[in-house]
Amino acid sequence: MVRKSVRFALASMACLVTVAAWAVQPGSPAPDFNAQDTHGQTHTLSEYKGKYVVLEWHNRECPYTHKHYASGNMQRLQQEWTSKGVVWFTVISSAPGQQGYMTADQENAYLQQVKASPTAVLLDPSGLLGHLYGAKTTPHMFIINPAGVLIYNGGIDDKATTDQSDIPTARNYVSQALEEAMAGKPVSEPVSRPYGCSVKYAR
Amino acid sequence: MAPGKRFVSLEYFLFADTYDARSLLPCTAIVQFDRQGNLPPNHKRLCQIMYQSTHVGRWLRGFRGLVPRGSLLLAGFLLTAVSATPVSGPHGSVEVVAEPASIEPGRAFWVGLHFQLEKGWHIYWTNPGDSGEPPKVQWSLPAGFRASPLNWPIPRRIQDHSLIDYGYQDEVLLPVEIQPPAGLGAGHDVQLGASVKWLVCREVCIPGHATLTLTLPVKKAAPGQPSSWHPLFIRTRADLPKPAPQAWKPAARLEGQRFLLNVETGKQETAAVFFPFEPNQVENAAPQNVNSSSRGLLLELQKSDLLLKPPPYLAGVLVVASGAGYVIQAPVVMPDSKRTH
Repeated sequence: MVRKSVRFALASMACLVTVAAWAVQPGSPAPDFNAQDTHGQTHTLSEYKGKYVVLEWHNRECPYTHKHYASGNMQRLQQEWTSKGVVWFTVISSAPGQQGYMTADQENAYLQQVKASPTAVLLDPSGLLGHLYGAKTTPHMFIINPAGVLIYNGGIDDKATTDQSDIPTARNYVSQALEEAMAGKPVSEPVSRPYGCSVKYAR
Repeated sequence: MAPGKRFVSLEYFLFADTYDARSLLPCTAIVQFDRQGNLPPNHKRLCQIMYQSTHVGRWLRGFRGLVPRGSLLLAGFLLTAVSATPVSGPHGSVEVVAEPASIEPGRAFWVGLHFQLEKGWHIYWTNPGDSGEPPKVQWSLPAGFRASPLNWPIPRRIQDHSLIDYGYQDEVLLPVEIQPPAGLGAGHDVQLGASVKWLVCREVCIPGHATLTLTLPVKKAAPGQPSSWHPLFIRTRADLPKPAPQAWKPAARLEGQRFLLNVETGKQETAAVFFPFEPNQVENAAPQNVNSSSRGLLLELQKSDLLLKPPPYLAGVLVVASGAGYVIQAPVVMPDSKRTH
């Protein structure tokens, strides 16, 4: 549990960081975090050392997020990769009152409704986790390898549209990076333009 | 004039460039009579002021004179509207409009996507910036017709939470040049179809989709009448970025976390904004510091954290203090003067 005074200091830093959203470059160590999921359980990045970790920024009302959920695409990816031992965190950084903000109960009901199966959903209404990674859009995807190094930062695929019909012909950067890394190969496309709606941080 | 009336609406046409019917701009000025029942001495300047304060923010070249609309109508001058009915989309409308009232075989002409948006809502430039998506069009044209890509007027920087996007608010026309075949028969109408997809945002984003058609008559070689959209096309073409003069020699040095973009315009530049064509090169939300010199300017652009290796060129639109925009393609050099390609 992060102490209140430390949390306040971190929140102030986050306000300064919003001026220039610093991103984390693939190849550098992924920042450790401490966040709570929709069942009240705390997760840190460091406790998952030895596993691949995917961070998926999410806003259910954004038409780009909707494209990947209404089509079942995101749920398929979550199912496929968690069954291969990947830890998949969906992250919600919408501030209270902003589009996409969810309480724990609302989010749990939503997961049932859309049959999503991430390892957990991290609730980040203060935006600390989002600003730590420089999450800009929903969706925005990050992949961390078992050594704790960021190996992917960018969009989910290469068709920056709201059309579900673009999914089958798009190159999925998340699957590509995980396949390559798991085969011991360098990730051929470690960055791409993250596309979607802006993350609805507090103003 | 009626002495009891305090206000009158004066309707003028403005000759924007030459004394030519094709450069007329409609203008309505609401003017207040003074106590003596006279019009204020500067009432004609109100039209000039109106056009100065459009979102383009620039003087149109050469205001030559004002002609009251009534006199033009008496002369039998009529402007016809040529457009498909505006289709309502989320928080605005879109329509395809044509510059001429009729077309000629083999003679290229301009059409455009005309967006009108509710206050505070915006659509996006070709590079939308940190979030969003630019409008796209798929044309259904008769045989032999060709359409240019969309042309993009100078965008603005738009704040979206902690991000910066590039786009347009209120109203924008995206012009397209259409080339009809030389063998096109005259004396009938042609239909141009456009399937338009776009994203409109304010705090939230909503996708829009419209199928539009535009019908135009084909006439044999005779100088065609302009449509009533002609003035909007003139204003918009003035707002399309031009290629930068070769003498400007744009060049970008990559130093640490910054691009230093040097442009020699030949005079001191006090303000400038750079809009990159490619994503993931420049940090869109970072401030751009201008260092002006007697020869031009040096613009500091923060490098994007998602830029893993230096690009061979930094390309985009440079907008200077006058509001004019120029297409820049600056080769990127490293501090030790080695070219990156």
